[in-house]
Amino acid sequence: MQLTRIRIVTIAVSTLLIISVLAGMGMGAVSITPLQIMAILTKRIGFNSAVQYSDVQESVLMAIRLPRVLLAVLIGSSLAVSGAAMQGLFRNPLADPSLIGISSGASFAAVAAIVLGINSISSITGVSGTYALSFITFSGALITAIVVYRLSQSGGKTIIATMLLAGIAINSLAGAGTGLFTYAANDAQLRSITFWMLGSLGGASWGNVAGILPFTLLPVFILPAMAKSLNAFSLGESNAAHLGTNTESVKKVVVLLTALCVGASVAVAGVIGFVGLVVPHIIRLTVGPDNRYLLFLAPIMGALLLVCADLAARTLFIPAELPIGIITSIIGAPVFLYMVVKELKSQKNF
Amino acid sequence: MLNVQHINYRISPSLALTDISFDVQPGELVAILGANGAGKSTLLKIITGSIKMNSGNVLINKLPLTYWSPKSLSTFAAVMQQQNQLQLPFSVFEVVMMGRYPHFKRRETQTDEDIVNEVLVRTGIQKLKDRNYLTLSGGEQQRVHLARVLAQISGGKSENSRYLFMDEPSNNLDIRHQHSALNIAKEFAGEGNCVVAVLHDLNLALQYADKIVLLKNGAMKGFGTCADIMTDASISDVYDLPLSIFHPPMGRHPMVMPVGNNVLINA
Repeated sequence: MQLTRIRIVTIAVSTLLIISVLAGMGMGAVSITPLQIMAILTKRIGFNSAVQYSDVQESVLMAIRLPRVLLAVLIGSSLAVSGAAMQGLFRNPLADPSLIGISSGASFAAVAAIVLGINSISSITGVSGTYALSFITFSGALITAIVVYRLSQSGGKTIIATMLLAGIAINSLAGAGTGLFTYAANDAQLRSITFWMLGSLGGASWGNVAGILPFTLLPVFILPAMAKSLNAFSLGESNAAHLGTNTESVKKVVVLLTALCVGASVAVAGVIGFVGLVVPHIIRLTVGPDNRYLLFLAPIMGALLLVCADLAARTLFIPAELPIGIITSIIGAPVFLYMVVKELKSQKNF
Repeated sequence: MLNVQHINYRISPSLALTDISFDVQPGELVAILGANGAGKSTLLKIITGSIKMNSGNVLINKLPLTYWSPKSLSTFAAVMQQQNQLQLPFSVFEVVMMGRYPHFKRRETQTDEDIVNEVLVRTGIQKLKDRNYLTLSGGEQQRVHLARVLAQISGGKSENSRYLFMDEPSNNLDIRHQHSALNIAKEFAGEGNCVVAVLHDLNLALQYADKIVLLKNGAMKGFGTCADIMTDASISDVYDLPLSIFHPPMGRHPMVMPVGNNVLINA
């Protein structure tokens, strides 16, 4: 019964993802029909179909839309799966990389590096530039992740209040630091700072896609293998150890992979909040809290959410483009508030 | 067989264990007794490997604790802790199935499901099977964890005995379920296994324990059968309260009661 339900959800979400990817590639100032998309893509592998399309359509798809949709898929799936794994580690559904400061730690590191004139970074373009910046944002993300985890653990328990408060503190500290750098920044730097604070997929390119590919695929493929251990973790760290889990390695792998994909996605798209919170929450509501299903479904639904959010960001107010971080926050913040209220109620019942 | 040999542990003057030794033979239920802060839970954490001792030995099946990897240990030794921190809405069945995690790689087998169902019946919570764990009462949650640790070390064939460690298993339970929990533990020991339980209730200890470890301020005050070491003097000393053991007629279990100026006794 449970398995049938999971199968249905998987098929439904995958279908929606395919539709949204086609919409993401087809909709915009230049519209391209799904058939034309197929024709353009299959031509690359040597098929010639009868479907007609223009050169403009082909170059828009190949140079702009396709890398952008791929970026949304990679970032959405890795943020969602690492959010779910973080929640397993913290034993609480409220832990999210953006809420507890990991994303802003990463973006602060990026802004600091750029304004402090580590010029070599902005001058390196393409894949190696993405790698260099990714490394800096990864360091920022890793440091904040370790600090928050250490702060919120006490006697083998996660103190949720400490975790969220530490997140607030780090978020505002990183915000203040970023704000400080805006005074030192020139015009071009200012634009990129705004970009990091609000998040956008507007800078998508094939270089970006190749740059984050390894860092986003690693969590998507490795984290689901830790599902059973994370289930055991929900009983508390020492109980998990008594169930044969190597708790130290679980902690290290989850924190490292989360920092890796948050760092990489911040490097190319800035802070995109709440994906890691909203997606696991919706999945838990439909198939329950078992990480074996959660970590498998989260990447698919995360990709779906981000492709749709990006589509909304660039088509709602044509020709202006909204930062995608605003869209995900508009969806995510109310869900978060609802979850906090629910959590408070459940604590009162004890 | 479990051998605890000369354990010493010290992190502060108020929390220390000095020279603790006792053995648990297959088939025995050994209770650890002592006042609050005597070091009972700390001792249990050392025996189960959660805390490292400063000196001494813990032997499980005649091999030192450090010889066993957590993974192999988890297939035949289970620990029921005092506190559990589950905050996610798992069903009772799913929580009990977690006890089977050491035995399968990704998906549970039919055998695992059979064991879980059998344990649910044995602990009397089969009716709660599909309930959300978070909506249960404290006592019901405690019974779910009892079922979980039993599932962990049930089933399969093994020449060596299995081990069950329990930290205050009667917490939150009403009198009927206290007795049923200890009956289950006793029955499990009777199948050739070793059970160690930290207990608060002296009467439960007198009724169910084969042997008793008496702790006071981190030091052993005695180890042996109830008849040998449970005397008015020894338990009054351990708990700093005048206590007396009464032996009701007709072979009923002995009972402990406080005695003192304000307690009337008809001797």
